[in-house]
Amino acid sequence: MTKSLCIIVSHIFRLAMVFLFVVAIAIDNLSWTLICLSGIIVSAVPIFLKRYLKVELPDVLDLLITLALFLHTGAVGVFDNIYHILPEFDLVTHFASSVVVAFIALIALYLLDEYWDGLHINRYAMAFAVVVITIACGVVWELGEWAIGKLWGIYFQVDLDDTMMDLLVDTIGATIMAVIGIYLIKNGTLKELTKGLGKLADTHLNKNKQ
Amino acid sequence: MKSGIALSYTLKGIMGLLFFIGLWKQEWGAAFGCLVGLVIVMIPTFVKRRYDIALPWVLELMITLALFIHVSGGVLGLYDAFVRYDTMAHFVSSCLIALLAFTFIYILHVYWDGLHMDKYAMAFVVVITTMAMGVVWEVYEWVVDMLFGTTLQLGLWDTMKDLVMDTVGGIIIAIIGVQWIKTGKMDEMTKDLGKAVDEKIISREKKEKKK
Repeated sequence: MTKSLCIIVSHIFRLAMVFLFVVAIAIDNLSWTLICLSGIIVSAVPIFLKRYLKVELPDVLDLLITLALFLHTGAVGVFDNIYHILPEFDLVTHFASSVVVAFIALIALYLLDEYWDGLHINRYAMAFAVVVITIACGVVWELGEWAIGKLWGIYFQVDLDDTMMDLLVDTIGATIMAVIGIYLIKNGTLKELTKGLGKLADTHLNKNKQ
Repeated sequence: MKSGIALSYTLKGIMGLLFFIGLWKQEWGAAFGCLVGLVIVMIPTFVKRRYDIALPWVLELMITLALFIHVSGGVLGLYDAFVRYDTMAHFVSSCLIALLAFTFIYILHVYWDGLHMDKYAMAFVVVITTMAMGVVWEVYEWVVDMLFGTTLQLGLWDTMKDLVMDTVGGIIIAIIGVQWIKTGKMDEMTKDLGKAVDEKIISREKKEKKK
């Protein structure tokens, strides 16, 4: 996918979320409204970073983030009480999120490897680290859901099977992203994708040296 | 150090006794588990004899301790007698995994070209690796339960508690490990194993590439 197309598609997802937000208000569904709102806010983060902090995220990452957020906001609304109707959809959103987390981990590791003295890592070791980081994030997520359920009685976790499936899907998403990551590194795409971020990382990480 | 080795041999001896207790109680499954545990704890000794590679004594003690807790729980029925026993066993096992991960990463860091890592980054990787191994373990239990109708996983609450214990164990070992690196103890402990890995795997691979 070309650069501009990525941006256009991710803007379409943002607009769709705004649309869903309006629908949620119209049908007077408070929780869906709040979820849409938080989705819109998070999806605006890449734009905000670019405008005000001059941090340019790779366009593909931007697209993946908005896609994952769109799936989340769409899922809750369109399949209200989704867990009874379509539990598989929850797995789709989990998969998309884990791919995004893995991609962010990959970019972070790549930048640290390139610009930080504290880390030099072989690309296969990097792929391993990406998988492990994503799985650990999945654990943190599940523990968060669990803690919220215990503290406030809002139960996101359906049962053990559901939680284990989530963790399994996280692992699969991470593994796929890691394999793709190895290829992206090999053919230089990742270097190109992170060009904008790289300069920034360089100035921040090597600030003390200059 | 010497007391650590002595303790590890004492635990191995008790495990031998536990095997006979298991046979005497006619708990064949537990006795078999004990036998498997004994074989595993003898591996470091075997490797030392055969290949002259000594594991760090802390690691050897940790392996023995984790298996000892598991085996004695099985033979003496401690898992059923104490509610917290399973949690404790999980905690010790995750400490072992974290220690293995730390040793492994540190040796790669020192002897392998493909990895150079800041000690805090290392600690981070150790924590998340331990968490990920916890997930692998839980998924394994889940799959076994599904296929064979056993109840290794007692429920969501239990599984979440296990994952928390894994994380805590990982964090504790990561903190200890950073201290060991700072004081040079890590260097000292992994010297034997590191050199052996370097000679037998890393350097040999390099030579083959040169050919």
